[in-house]
Amino acid sequence: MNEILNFLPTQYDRDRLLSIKHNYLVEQFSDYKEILSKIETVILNNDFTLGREVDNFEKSICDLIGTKSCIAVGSGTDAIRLSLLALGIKPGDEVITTPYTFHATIGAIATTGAKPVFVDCDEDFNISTSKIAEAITSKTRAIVPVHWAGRPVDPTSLKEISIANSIPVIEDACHAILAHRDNVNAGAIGKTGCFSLHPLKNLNAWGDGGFICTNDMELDTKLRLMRNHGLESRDSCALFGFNSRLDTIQAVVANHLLAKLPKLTNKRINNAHLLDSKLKGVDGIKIPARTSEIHEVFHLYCFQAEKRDALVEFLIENQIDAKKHYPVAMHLQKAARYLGYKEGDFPVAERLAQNTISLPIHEFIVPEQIKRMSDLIWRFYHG
Amino acid sequence: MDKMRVPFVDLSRFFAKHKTRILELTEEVGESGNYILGDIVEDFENDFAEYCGVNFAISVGNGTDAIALSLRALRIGVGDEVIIPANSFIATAGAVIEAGAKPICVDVDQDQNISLNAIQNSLSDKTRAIIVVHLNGNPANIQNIKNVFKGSKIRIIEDAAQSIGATLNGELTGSFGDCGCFSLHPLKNFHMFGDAGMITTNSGDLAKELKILRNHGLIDRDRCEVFSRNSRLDTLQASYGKYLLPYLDDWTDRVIKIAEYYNQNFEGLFYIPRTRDNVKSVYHNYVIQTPLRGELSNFLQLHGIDTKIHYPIPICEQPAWQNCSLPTADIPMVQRHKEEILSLPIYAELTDLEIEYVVDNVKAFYRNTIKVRKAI
Repeated sequence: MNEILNFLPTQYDRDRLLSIKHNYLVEQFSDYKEILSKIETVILNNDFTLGREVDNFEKSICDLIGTKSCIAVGSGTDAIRLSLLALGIKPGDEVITTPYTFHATIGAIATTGAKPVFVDCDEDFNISTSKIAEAITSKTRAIVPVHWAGRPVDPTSLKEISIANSIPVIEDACHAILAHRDNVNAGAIGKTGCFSLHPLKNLNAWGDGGFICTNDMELDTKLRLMRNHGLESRDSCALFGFNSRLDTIQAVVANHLLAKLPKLTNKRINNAHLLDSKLKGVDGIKIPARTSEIHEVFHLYCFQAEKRDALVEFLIENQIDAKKHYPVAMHLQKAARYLGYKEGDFPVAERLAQNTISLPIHEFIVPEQIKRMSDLIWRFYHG
Repeated sequence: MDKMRVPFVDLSRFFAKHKTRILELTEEVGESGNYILGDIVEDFENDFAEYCGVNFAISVGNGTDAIALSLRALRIGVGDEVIIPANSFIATAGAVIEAGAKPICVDVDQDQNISLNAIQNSLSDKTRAIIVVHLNGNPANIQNIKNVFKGSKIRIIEDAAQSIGATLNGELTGSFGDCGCFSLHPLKNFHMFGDAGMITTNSGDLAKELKILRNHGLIDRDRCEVFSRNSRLDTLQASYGKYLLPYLDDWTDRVIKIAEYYNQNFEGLFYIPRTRDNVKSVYHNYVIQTPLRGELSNFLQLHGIDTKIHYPIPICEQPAWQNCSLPTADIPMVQRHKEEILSLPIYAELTDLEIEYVVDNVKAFYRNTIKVRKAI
């Protein structure tokens, strides 16, 4: 096929040549020998579907996030989709979410047959909790907040809205592993917390993967059935489900990295704080307010920037892998036309889509690189 | 005859042969930092398409998703009916349910493949697709089915998860229908080392649509054409697939030889899965049919030989089917099969000694049983 739609990897080809990159996988997995020998064991044991490595991974996540259960699934998208389906969400239902997110959040909602209902966000990129109540109708069955870039949405407000309206919260915590706010972990706020193990996430694998955290053991039973064809034994099918399993090989990789997660998260945080301090005083940019009760894990380092497109171009010319996550809000996507939204419906999200820039902030970024990024930004705005 | 242990499957034997290269590939992909889609996936898709004799192959996360995404791409959903054989793996029905359509179970012929008669008796004005499963690697009469529904609005999807390399009149399964769906799960005759799936089609439009649907509905990094799912074949798994595909014909040849040897030796004892003229079956399972199924299975187990039943509960008798209040089906042949079918071990790495051991034990069982019956 001439028209290649496998664009995902090729989009990074150019980025690889830059000196300060978003993609750090080569460095991250430079100690893969240990992973290889574990993968060999898995293969020799014929342990390809679920199995011990997956069990161990789920247990470690429970300890880390503090939920009673963790169910590993095929992707972060499936984590959200299966959560919604396990709650019985179906065509005709409405699910409230944010228009400022990756397409997968909306895909997970739309593929259950439910209607995504958007609520605008605040200056910190997250859904505006004060506006959720007015979007609730008699058909609302769930709220899917996104902890954008690793900054948790306010758990107190979410819980209040959820309790007052008897509507469950399904957290899209794909960016937010180890993040917490007011001492509540991202992923432990709602009915379920949904995470991704996609290669570019803070905790990642060598392919697609995801997991669901929950304290609801009935939901746990249902989700375990749903991810594996609804099978309660080899031959008996209790409910029609799906195939959405974390590959055992991928669990090996994730387990290996899990041990390093606290350390690499701290490096991201330190990098972000250093960049915050260096960018203080730049005219033309707006960084979300940092407070001590909001523990962000900086999956991305995002801020609003005047003349954003020119800044991105300028930084790329200077070998910095600046990106736009993401330049078109969800309600303005072609895919969302059937929902009937129009430009102007969510002014904050639309502005963020036009203004926001994201810079590499992962654990392999060193202080000199931070300085280089901030120097360039200073130069761009102040000459 | 010394007692042996013959496992039903043993992937470690397979892995032992390919270990060095598989681990090298793991290292190469791990080192590359390229884990999603990319050239490796595309090369594997091209090789797979060429192998199956079709224009396009689109890799996906698993075989279930292959069917679910195909249905969606063919615009089959709420209000539509999809005919499936009642004796398939449960995932066939699960994929139809996911699409929002209603699965209609039908009976099969003696060879366990979907019955054209049964299909015709189950048609309604809502029928939009038929999923033809080439069960056990034995091609169904798909050409006849195709001829009957030519020019109609009814789409034909092949579930070729067990039949890669099988042919009908020289043409490969997966190349007959609007599309062909494959699972490459570790227990399939051609497999990776984790979940994996593939869709084959000759339609460029369908191929394009499927590539969008498997990847969040994205047409580039930032633009979403239609809200969809994430169902991609991991690059790591594709690297294994690309390496293993050239070996497939050798394994298949060996498996067919084992099946033929079984056939020769079991002639007259019970129903054997002999292939029809102009058909090449790849024997994903070697399934016999005998009223003495339970006794034979116990006897073989006592002698260290694993057997299995694919599958003991028809789809329309599953608790899930009943919970969804789906219609009951008239499936006398499937009912009989579920009491009589037995799968014997069959894979390329079985040794000649093990094959002989299986044959000797099956024959010994029948000699003893017949002796006892005569005596009583």
